[in-house]
Amino acid sequence: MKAIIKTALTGAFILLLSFQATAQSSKYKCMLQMSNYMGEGAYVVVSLINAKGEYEKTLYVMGDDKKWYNSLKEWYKFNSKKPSNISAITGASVTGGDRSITTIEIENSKINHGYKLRFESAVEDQKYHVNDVEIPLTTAGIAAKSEGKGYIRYVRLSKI
Amino acid sequence: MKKNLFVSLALAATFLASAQQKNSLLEQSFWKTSPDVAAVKAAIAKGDNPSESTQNAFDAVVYAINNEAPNETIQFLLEQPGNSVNKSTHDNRIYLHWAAYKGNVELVNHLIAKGSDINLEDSHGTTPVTFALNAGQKNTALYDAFLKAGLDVNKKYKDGATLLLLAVPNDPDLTLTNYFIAKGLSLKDTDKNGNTAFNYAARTGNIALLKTLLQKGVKPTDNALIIAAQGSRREANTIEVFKYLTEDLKLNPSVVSTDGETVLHSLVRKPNQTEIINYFLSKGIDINKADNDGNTALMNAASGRDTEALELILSKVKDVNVQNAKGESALSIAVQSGTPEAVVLLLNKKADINVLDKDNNNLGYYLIQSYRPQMMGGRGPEAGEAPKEDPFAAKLKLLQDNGLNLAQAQKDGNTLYHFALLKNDLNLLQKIAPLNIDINAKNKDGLTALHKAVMIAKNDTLIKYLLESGAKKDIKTDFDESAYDLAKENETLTQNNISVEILK
Repeated sequence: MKAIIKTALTGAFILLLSFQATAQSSKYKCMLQMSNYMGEGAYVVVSLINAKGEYEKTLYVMGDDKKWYNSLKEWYKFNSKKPSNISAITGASVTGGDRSITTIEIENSKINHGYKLRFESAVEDQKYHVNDVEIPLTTAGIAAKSEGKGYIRYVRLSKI
Repeated sequence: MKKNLFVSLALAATFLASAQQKNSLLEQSFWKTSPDVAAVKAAIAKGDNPSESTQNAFDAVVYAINNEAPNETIQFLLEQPGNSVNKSTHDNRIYLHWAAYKGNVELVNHLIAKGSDINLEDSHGTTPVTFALNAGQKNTALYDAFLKAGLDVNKKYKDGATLLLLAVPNDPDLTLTNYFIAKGLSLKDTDKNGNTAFNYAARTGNIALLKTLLQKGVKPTDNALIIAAQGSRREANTIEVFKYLTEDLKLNPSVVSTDGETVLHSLVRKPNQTEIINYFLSKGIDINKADNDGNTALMNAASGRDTEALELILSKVKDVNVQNAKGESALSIAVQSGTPEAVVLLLNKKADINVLDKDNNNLGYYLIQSYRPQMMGGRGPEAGEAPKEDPFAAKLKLLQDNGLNLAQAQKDGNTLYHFALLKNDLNLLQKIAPLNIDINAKNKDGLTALHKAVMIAKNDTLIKYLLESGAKKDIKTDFDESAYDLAKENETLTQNNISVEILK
C-alpha cells in the first residue's frame, strides 16, 4: 500500500517536473546561412554544450542519411554512447550558399549559465569542422550574428 | 552578325577553359599505361597539376596506386607539394587506405614510415587495415607492416568486429585467420551483436569454409541468414547456401536483424532472386515486416535496377501504400531511385499518387531528386552509345498522366523550381519549364526561386535563365534582402569575378 502511494507520488512529481520543464523552455528561429563552399550538401548538427564543454543534447540535425552521421565525428561519439530519438529534429542537408530556417527549443535555465550552442559540420570528401560556429547562450550571444569558421557563413537566432 | 560573333567568342572561351581543365594525371587512360617517372615529369612540365583532385576527390597518387603504377612513380608523386601522406582523398581515405587495398606492401611500409595514420577512419568508418581485409588481401606481410607499426591486434572495428572476423569471409583456406590466431585472436570472437566467425563467413557463402568452421567448433546464429542474404557488395549467394543454413543447420528463416530487417530486405535489392525469395516465402516469412526505419521489402525492391523482385513482392504484399519513418511509400522511392518501369508497376497496383512525406512534400519533390545530369562523354564505353530514354522525362510524364499537379507548390511554399535550383543544372530547369510553375512564388522562409538561385550560384547561368523566364528581381526576402544583396554575399561569384549587376 505504502509502495503504491510512493509510486503515485513520484509519478505525480515527475509529471509536474516535466510539465515545468516544457513550460520553461523557449523556441528560437534559427537561420543558418551556408557559405559558397564547393562540394556536396553539408551535414550540420546543432548541439547543446554544457559549461564543462560536454555534449548535453542534440537540438537539430541537417542531413537525414544515417550512413553519413559518423562524419560528424565528435557528435557521433556522443550520439552512439547516448542515442536519442532524433527523427523529429532531422531535416535535409544544406547545399553551399543555401540557407536553412529551423526552430529549436532551449530550456530557459540554460541561458546565461555557461552553456553554448555548437554547430558542427561535415561535407563528403572534405574537411570536418567540429566547431564551425559556437554561440554562447547569453543574452548578448543570442542577439548577435555569429560568423562561421567552416562551411557556415553565419547563424542568426531570434526568439519566437 | 554581332550576336554571332559574340556566340562564337563565348564558344571559343568555353573550349579554352575546358582545354585548360584537362589534366592528364587525372585520366584513367594515362594510368593504364603504367607510366614511369619521366612520363609523369613530362605531364607536369606540360602544366598538369600533380596534386589536383577530381570532383570525387581522387588525385594522381590514388589513380597511380589503384592502377598499379610502378612504386617509383608513386613515390615521385608523393614528393610533390600538396600530396602529404595524410591528404584526404575520396571518401576521406588517405593513401595508406589505397595502398593497403591494393596489397602494395612496399608502399604501405613507405607510407607508414612517412607518418601515415594507421588508424585513420574513412567516411564509412573503415581503416586502412580493414579496407585491405574487405578487399580480400591475404598477404600476411601486409598485416605484419601494420602490427609492426603499433596496430593493436585486439582493436575492435565496426559493430565490435575483430580483425579475424573481418578476415574470415575472404579466407577459405584460413591462412589469414590462423595468422591472426597466432597473434592472439580467437575463432571464438564475436562482435557486439553476437555474430560469430561463422556468421561473418556466411557473407561470401562458401559452404566448404562454413563446414570447416563448424568442425572447428564455431557455431552459427540465426543472424547468419541475414548476413548471407546481404551477400557481398557485388555478389549474391546461391539458393544452396540458404538451404544449407535453414535445412541442415536449422537456422530460423524468419530471423529479424537488430535493424529490424528480414532476409527479404536484402534479397530484393539484388537481381535474379525469384527462386530464393519464393523459398523464404514458402517458409512463412513475413513479407510485410518493416525495419526500424519503417522500410519494407517492397520499398527496397522499388529502388532496384530491374523489376523482377518488385513484381514478385507486389503480387503478394498486403498494402502497397505503407510509408516509412520519413513518410516515403514504395512509389516515392521508385520515383526517386527506381526505374520508370517500377513507377508504372506501382501505379498499376493503385499506389497513391498524392502521397505526402513527413515534411509534406509530394512526389514532385521526389521527381526532382531523381534527376541525374546526363553523362557528357568520358565515362567509359557507354558514353558512345545512343542516348537511352530519359528516365526523368518518363517519370514526369507518368506523374502528370496520373493526375499529379506538378505546378502546385508544396505545403511549405516550395515549388519545383526551389528544389530544382539546388541541382545547379540548367538542363533540369529547362525540363520543368513547360509545367508553368509560378516562378515568383515565395516559400515559407520568404525566398523566391531567384533568391535561392543567387545564393547557391557558381556562375550566372541559372540567374540569367530565371530573369529571362520572368523572375522578378525586386522581390525582397523576409529579412529585407534583395536578390542583388544576396548575390553580393556569394563568395563563389565574387571569387570568379562574375558580375551581378544584371540583378540591380
